Amino acid sequence: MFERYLILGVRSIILALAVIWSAFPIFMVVSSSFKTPIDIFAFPPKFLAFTPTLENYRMLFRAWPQFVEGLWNSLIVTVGATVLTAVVSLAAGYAYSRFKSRWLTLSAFSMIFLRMLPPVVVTIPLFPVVNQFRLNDTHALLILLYAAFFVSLSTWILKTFIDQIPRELEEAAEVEGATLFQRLTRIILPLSVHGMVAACVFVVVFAWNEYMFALIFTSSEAKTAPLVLAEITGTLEGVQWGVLFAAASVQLAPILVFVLIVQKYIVIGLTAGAVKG
Amino acid sequence: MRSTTRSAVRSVAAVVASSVVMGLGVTPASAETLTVVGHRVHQTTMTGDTGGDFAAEWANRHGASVEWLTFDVAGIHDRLYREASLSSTAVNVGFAANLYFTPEFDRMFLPLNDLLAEHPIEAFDELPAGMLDAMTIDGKLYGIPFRHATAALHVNTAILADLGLEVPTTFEEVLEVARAATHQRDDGASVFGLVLDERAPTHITDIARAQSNGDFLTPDFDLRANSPEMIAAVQTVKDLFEEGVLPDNFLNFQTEDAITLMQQGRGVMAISPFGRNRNFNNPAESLFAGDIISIPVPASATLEGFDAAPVRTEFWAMFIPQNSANHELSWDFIRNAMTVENTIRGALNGNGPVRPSAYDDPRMAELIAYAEAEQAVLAVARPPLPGWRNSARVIDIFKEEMDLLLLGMKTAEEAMQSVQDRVTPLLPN
Amino acid sequence: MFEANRWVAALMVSPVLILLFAIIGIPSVFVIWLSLTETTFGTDPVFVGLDNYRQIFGDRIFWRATLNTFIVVNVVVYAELILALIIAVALNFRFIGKGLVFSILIAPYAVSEVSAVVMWKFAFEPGIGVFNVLLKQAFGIDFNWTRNPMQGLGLISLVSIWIHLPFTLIILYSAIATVPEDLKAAARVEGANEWQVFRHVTLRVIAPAILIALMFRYIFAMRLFSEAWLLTEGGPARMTEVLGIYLYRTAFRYFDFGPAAATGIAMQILSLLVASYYLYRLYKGMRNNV
Repeated sequence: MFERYLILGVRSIILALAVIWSAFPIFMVVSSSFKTPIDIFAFPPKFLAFTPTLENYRMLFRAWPQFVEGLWNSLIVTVGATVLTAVVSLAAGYAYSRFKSRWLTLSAFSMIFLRMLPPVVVTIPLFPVVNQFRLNDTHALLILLYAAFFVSLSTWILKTFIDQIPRELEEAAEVEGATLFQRLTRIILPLSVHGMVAACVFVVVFAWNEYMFALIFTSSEAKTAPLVLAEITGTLEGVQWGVLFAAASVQLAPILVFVLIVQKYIVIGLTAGAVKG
Repeated sequence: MRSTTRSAVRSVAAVVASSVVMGLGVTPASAETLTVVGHRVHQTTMTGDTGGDFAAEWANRHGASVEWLTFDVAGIHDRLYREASLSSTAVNVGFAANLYFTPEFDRMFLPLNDLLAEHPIEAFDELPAGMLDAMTIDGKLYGIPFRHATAALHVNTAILADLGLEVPTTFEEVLEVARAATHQRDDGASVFGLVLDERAPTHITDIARAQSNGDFLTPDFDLRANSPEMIAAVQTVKDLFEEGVLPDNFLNFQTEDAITLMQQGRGVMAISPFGRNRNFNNPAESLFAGDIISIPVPASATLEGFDAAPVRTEFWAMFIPQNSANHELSWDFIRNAMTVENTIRGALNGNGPVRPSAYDDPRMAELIAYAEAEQAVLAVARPPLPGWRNSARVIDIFKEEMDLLLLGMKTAEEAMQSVQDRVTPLLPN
Repeated sequence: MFEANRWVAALMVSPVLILLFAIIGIPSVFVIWLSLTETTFGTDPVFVGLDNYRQIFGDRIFWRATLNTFIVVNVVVYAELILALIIAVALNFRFIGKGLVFSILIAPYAVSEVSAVVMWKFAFEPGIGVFNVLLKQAFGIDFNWTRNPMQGLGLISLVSIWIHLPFTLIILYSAIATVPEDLKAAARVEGANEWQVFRHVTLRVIAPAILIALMFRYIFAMRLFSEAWLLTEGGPARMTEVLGIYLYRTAFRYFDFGPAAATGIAMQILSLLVASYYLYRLYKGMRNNV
């Protein structure tokens, strides 16, 4: 009994420290978005003793209507890239987990090797080609690009999680006449949902915040929110810090909501794992 | 659980379908659209409220529309050059800063001499020759200067008054006042007498020019890093840094930091573009709104022929990509932006006008307190260094050696000799 | 049922491979060629053989950047692994508000880097930063990372860990959630204490996930750029430069695409060397498993 309380105590302390460590700079960003520009970098710092204002948010939406359009474009691109990555990685992760051949092994490792090239250099040859095909400034292009840069990670994560699922479950299902597609959606997906959540969070965060590809390949139709954020930071006339922090807070919120929703599936996985033995 | 999975799959499928449809639904820019790549500030100066939207007026006259593609500074140039090196581009007009335009890029942009001869820009002779020279390669003009940023001395008069100090009138006095004004506030924060934006050669050259009209690199590529003038200038900076007159984190300093220090009253004087006056006196951002004046950087008492020091001026120019369509329309857009009246209107919208006469307009004097001072400096200011393929590399080398000096790992002579040696092979021919 | 399904397997992996090869594979061949040329905007590439490689390998700063990258990457990756493991284990029980805690732990990964780094800089501003004052008063340490390159690299590592810890945490936390309760219960019945359960059950089950997290984190960390650039820009005197910054300067400041491509290839090879041990482990795992 004592051991149990001790463990609970240690757990609480670790989590409390971790939360403080993670939240402190975030708190500074978010609270600064409610400060007047004078208070943001005041000395001594005003952590709590300031009069909150919504002026920064008002300025953001009045002076930067592109930001809202950017958020919308970011949403389309993020959803597209995430779903594309999830679908193709599930299929590939399953194949790499269940089937074996020298060719498959080689291709699995070539995925990692290709991913080692810094993305910056790839943009140099990619830019003229993309223009040739008139794909620049489209959501579709960003979706393909983001997916391409995250399929190797997602595939390997899913392979690792699918490896843990006993084959007997599938064999039993096949005896009952389940097709491959049915096995994938009814057995593999629910039982590897934690891996799927992890993989999806990575793509979502990446696609939502990505700057370099968006800078190079979009102009106006598909211009994403991080580009507008960079413009707010652009320094020709000084940075409007309040507006920047407001934009950063607005941009952060949907991701937190998303994580809040999907983390439940990791818990669902917990029970599923318990049932399976 | 199965049903939640299914409904999740269904809703996801709907979003994917719509994003694919949106992804494909792209319309190529129509023939009447003029696409401009630039900074949001360029857009505001042509479309603002105070001076009016003369870009829209132009577009209405031509039955065209102007589409602005705005990026951050690095993004503008990267994008413009990428577009201009394609076989064809939708970008009709692009902005580039003087240091970014280099002779190697001449193939990408249209020489403007013919267009200029055919449809002249109003009162073209008035444009500063130094700026036009910087945009000219082998007698061909590639860019039309539109916006300049010229260095000023910003002085927080409230802090000076508190300390019983006078606004300096020579560069020697600037240093004296900076030293005298450096102190620790009651709350423990240091107050720095002088704030420079950066330790780049562009900014250090200002010191050399104020002290002795020295130069780091002349427009005809005479490299003078190890000249007594430059060595004296960097020694001045080193002394100020060591004495704590320059900020502690000067080695990691950027424009934004300089602005914040002045707004918080932790910097007493700053050498930075005149336009900064607005940031320093903005009541929403600055504790000292109304107290910070912007005057010409005073020249050294020993420097004859100058009241205002011949500090740096940097500028943005407009270019037409060679590979774009409808050059005539692009040129007409530029011409419209460059008329005498629109130059003034742009200035009212916040631009630094490249026409000296714009400052004579009564509307300017009324709206901008420093108009007269800026006009005086513009008459003597010069670009800090010429642009060529290696200018960014040279700036990085200079900063590196400057750091070694400031850290006490090299003397001023050693650092500047090293700059001289390392930069020499990077000069054109 | 898992044999002789060559076509099914090919069909299932093909979308991923097509994406990868079309968008990274084919352009990367071009990058190799580019690394053998001299080219910038508006000029046609001129073949120069291995000159670009000679240039970067002869550059003192390239090696300094390589060393810095190597140090920071190893510090960061292992610190993240240990911290993530501790937090993931601590998190693995039911309590009210768990979702919120998890979201907060993930937030550094999702927040805009520019704004977060500005806050770190403010908190560490020499002289007046909260942490600087704290370090000074508690330990007498003068933490001016703008002057001291070791402290500069330290701050870069710290911020990098802060941003990327969630990456490893997400993978490990998800993996720990798959450890069957009955396995742990069985171990406890046999008299294992919590530490032994962790070592012999949990750690064994999540080992493959740790391997994946480590390897991909290594690959991503090798390209470390934003936080380093935003914090120090490689200064003072390029003593805190990392390869990501070196590459950025060459490609985006100097527009010098030959050496930029060569740097990219060098980074790829370096990543391969650094990750080779983990790749080997992964390869063995894949052979033995099926």
